[in-house]
Amino acid sequence: MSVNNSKLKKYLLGSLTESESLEFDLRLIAEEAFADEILLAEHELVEDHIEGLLSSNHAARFESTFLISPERRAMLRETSLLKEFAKKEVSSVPEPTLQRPRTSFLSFYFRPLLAAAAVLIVVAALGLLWNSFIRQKASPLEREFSALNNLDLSDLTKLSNMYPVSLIPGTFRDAASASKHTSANLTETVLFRLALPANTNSSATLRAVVRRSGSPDFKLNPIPVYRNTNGSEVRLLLPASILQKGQYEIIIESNTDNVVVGNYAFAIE
Amino acid sequence: MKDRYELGQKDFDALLGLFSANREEAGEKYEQVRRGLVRFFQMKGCSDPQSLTDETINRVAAKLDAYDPSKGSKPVSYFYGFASNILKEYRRNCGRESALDEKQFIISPLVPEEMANEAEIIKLRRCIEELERDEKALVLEYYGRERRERIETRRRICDRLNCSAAALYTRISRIKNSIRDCIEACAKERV
Repeated sequence: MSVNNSKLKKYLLGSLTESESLEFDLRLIAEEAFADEILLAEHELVEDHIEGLLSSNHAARFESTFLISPERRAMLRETSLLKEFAKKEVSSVPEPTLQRPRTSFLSFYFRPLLAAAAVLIVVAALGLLWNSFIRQKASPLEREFSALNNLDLSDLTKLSNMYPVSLIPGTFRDAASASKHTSANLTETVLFRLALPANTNSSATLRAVVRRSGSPDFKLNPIPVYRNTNGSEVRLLLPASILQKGQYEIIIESNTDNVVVGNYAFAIE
Repeated sequence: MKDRYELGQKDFDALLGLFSANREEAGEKYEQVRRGLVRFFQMKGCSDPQSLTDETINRVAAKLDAYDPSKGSKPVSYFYGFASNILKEYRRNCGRESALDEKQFIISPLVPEEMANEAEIIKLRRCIEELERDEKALVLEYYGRERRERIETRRRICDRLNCSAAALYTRISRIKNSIRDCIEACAKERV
């Protein structure tokens, strides 16, 4: 049985509870096949470290708890070399050139129109880019997760390995009313499902601001809307690395008219 | 470490009796647990997992009379209790390893963020060129992307090869072993 890879990485970092670690220790001794899953998790953890994907807490544990044997240090060195080499090789492969189609009378006639349409599309794309990234100075993590959230999240079965948080809109009142979650239970990426009010404009494009007192806002723009059996919802994938202990508010706003669509409160303990 | 307890034949037979009355079946289960203990100590970063496994087995054999199967605990849990104490002793006595085993992957250690020097890349390129064409393509595809693209690329490879992520990594590990052997051979050529 395949274990949540994120949990295995936490096991390797020594950040599971004692009883969870015990379970994996016993499996490691009793099940030969489990060793393959552990090896894969070790390797992916090393890659996460190389790519700067570990939270500061996990990065510290990586150095202090994981990287304690010559074999693992060698794995890190070896993997760094291979990734560096392969990245250069892959990026140096030229894109295949397209054969120019023979010019026909029709394509000659429509070519200026096509060129004009292409210019308009590029200008519109640059405008969107300016709005969503440059003007708001999105961090690399925000840009990466914005791109991730633009993937098709309609199939929830593909997201079943992520820790889910379901929220309904409400006034952000006090700590007692917020939905509470334990940080140790979070997977590396957390799935948020935010029910939208019934009167939400279905054609509006939305953006999300994740706010915690004392920390910079984490923004995602745009975020798509999904239908569910009760109406519509926003699905957000957020990195656990930004979800430190504290009270949070997610504000969903409309890009069309800058109106707040909903406020959602939760807490990480 | 405490004074070593050496395992005699009589004690070994009694140890096998923990697993099964059938000697052949007991032998297989004993071997599985022994290999599992080696994996356990390796995973915990111990430099000599075989010795620590032997020590665990010796101590279990010395305390067989304390094992009570009627309490429902399995033999592997009993072994684990001793292994976990030996691990604590090891960590107290030895601390962290800092030296590299010179049989490890090549060229220089050990500052992970340090950029590869030209000599390392040249050796790596030469050894990757010596791989079979499909192995070379696979390892470049496997390592050529980062972050989200890394995940998507590997999912595509698994779909194409009809294998699990763990099986794919096993295949990549074999290719890496070939590369490692080649680079060691290159290093010896220069000596």
